[in-house]
Amino acid sequence: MTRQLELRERLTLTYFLPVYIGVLLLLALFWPSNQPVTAGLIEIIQSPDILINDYMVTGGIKATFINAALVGLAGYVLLLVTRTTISGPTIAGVMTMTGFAMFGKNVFNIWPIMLGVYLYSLARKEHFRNYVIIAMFGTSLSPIVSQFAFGYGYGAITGIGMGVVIGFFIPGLVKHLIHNHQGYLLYNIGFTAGFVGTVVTSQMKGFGQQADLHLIWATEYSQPLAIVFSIYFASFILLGLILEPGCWRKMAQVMRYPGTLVTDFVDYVGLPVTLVNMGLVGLIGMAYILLVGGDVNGPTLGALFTIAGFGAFGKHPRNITPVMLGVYGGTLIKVFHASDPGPLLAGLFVTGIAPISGAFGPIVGLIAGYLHLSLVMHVGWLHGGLNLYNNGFAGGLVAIVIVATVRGFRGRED
Amino acid sequence: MIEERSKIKGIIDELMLNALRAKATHVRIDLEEMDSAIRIAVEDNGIGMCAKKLEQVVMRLSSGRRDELDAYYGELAGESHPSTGLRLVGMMVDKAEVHSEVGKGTRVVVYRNKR
Repeated sequence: MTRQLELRERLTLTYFLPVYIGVLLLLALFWPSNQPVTAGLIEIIQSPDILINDYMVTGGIKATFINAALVGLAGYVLLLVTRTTISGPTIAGVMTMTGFAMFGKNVFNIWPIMLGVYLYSLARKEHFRNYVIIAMFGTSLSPIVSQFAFGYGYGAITGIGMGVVIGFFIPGLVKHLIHNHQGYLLYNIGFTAGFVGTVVTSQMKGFGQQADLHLIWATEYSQPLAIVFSIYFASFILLGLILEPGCWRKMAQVMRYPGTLVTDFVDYVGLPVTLVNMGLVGLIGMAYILLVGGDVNGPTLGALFTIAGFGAFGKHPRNITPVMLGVYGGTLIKVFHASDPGPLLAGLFVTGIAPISGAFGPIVGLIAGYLHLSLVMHVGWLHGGLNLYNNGFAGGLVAIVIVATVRGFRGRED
Repeated sequence: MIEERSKIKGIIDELMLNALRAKATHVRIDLEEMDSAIRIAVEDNGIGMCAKKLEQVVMRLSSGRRDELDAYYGELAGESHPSTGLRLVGMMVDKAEVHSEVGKGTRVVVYRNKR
């Protein structure tokens, strides 16, 4: 019986990602819209992609779903080709790639970054598998490819070349910068990409080239998307319960982990309850959007995919809720409105610093979320929107300040 | 090889922190380069572990080496949160042996194969 369960879990672990990504293709096929898909995909590829570029506006909803599915499948195939274990971090990687392919990553601009990371592995004479996670998350800098190719107008070859160069340098940088927050930020590559984006943007400004932030934001699909994707994330819970009906009892065990790097829930507590957790955190994110009156669109769906993906790699209801409430609390007394694009995304992506709440308690989590809101609204101009994981950059700064401060009073949590 | 040295140092740091958490007053670290692996042994005179706790620790250290995590997140070894420290070591080593007696101390031996 146990062996059968293990076999079912193994099969589910192997195939649930392509199945869930495949659902996006079905949505593209059956969504009631007359928007031309091919023209939409071309629009998506040729757009500069600096924050915030909602592909549902740029290329239409069908092309967005197809792009998201193709980018997600690219990440999944990368895992298969490199024979990388499918586990918490890689599930988070594929889900994050899929989500961000609704507002910044596309079938053109992800490859140069990944090629650059691959060349780094060749230069180091190491297997590419060792760097596959960095390659997947490193695509947060994909807008650099598009910006150089189409934004600055230097052409596709230059854009690809820049992407390869950036990809080549990312692995060394991420390994260095991870020490700064000591695993209390789940989006370490976003933190790194913030610095890289800042260097690139500042250099280009020196040549008189501007990459100003812009806002392309869909508002017309909220209601149907909220219904469809609430069912989508709820089905994760259902799948987990089908695999192991009593697995929900293990949620208490899941929520005891602070969520600091490396918390691989698939490895620690098994796939069934991990799926339940992924569904729960995805639904909490959706509830937040709806409760504050925000829009469900490409960027916010991207955030939900990221939250759900990291439900396999550190996030759970207990550690994400305080930081989200911290952001919301900030919107009540600051000049920001919770339903506006920037603060709304902050309320969702702040969950990258959920381990602060998990390790130091909900009060510290609230404070971290409160600080995060203003920081994330401030740092985007530094990298000119070239880093899609803007909240990772801001979150890293918050994590450094909070971790250093708390440890200054308490010492290490030994 | 510089990176390999830092990984080994990280594993030793993590195991040593574990010994100190067990209230050890004497920690002995033995590092040996073998033909095909690096052997790290950390022995302490701390409070030791009961059978259930010992089983958990063995499980954490025996998860199997995972190259994709080792190369990136392995950087955190020696700095990570107590809840993930031993698991991180487990992802970075190929074999682990643990012996412990309540009140007498613990001996952890891990092997990291050369690549």
